[in-house]
Amino acid sequence: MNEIRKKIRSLFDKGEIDVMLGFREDPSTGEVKAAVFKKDDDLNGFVYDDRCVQNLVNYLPTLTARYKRIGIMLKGCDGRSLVTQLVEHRINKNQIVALSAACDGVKVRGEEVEKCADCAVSVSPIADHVFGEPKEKKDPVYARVREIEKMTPAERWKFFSDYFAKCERCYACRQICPSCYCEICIADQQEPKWIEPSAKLSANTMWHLIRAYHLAGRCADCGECERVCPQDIPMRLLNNALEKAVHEMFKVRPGTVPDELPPLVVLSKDDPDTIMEGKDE
Amino acid sequence: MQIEKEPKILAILCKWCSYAGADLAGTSRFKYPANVRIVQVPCSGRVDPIMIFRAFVEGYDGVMVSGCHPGDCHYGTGNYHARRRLAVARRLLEFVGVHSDRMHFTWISAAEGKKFADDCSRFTEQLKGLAGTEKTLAREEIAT
Repeated sequence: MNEIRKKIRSLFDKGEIDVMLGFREDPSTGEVKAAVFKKDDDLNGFVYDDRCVQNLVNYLPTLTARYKRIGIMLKGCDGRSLVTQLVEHRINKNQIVALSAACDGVKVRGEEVEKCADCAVSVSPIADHVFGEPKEKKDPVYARVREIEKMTPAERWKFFSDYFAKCERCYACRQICPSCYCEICIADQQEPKWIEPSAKLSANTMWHLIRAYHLAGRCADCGECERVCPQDIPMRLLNNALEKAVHEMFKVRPGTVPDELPPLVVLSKDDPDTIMEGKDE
Repeated sequence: MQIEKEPKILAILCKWCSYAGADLAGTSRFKYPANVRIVQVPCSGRVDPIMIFRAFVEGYDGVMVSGCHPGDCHYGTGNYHARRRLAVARRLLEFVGVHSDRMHFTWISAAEGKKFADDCSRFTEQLKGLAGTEKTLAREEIAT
């Protein structure tokens, strides 16, 4: 950790960054929260360990509008998130100095987070400074998705409708997601009104389907949507199902390769018709 | 006496090929079931999967989407985009519990009136085969 602090100090001294986006420990409660460090701040408050769950990339568009150059501390999954944002030209790479340290999984209240079991990247795919030894890459297995795929359609619908019915439509999942940034969200749009605003099963189903679909081929699986959900709706399950589908069909895993365009933005004349006819299964 | 319930099908057809194909089926007097309700869109690339989601939520038993054959798109590449989108939408719907037989995504050219009529008949039969299974995604009762 001292190595990282030293690096940040030298970046400040050389004038390479104006602010540093990282995590700070609250000494009274021992909680770790996202924080912006400025040049004169005490860097001893800067922490980076397995309590740093939050995806900081979500703060970047606001910060890049305010400061010239920003340092950011990235876990592997946050790095994927950053790649997706750079590909969509939401942030300018020239403004970012990315620091990444090999991540060994994060914990919420002492419990290992579920997404870490399926982690594809232990350090960020793009980083200016890397600390520690990256773990060997392994392909995600999507165990939870495979379990659902074994069920019959009626069982699957029972499983999902029970969760969808609980949704309060607080849109916390949308607000926390770095990739959800439409100026007018389709759920807020009044004309045409595709999705009713009231929290009932039919409208909730529409919301969760369209949320998952709009993130297909873009979601970097940071898992923030599920973490912030007050009703514990397994939204990562939908994201993962589409991530798996997109990888099977188009051989793309969002965020793992810098400068790779999202698969639903580009087209290929060589896709087989069987992918849409659903006959290959 | 048991009255057999007729399935309701939404067909989203592109203006240049598939809608013209459906038109040809009509002018050629090919018989096809009256279960199909047609919506015309300018191009299969216009088909937003939200239309398909909404159709199922509103209670349609099956959704059919058709456009020009690959290479024949009036706008060049609309159907290539549609192919990817429909593929992803199908996987998502299947994952949350819509039976894969409830979706029929295909290409029908303006000359294939017969194919349109045949596809409609086959799709209707296919949905009748699902009659006993639960209709998923459908809207809850209005009275609450």
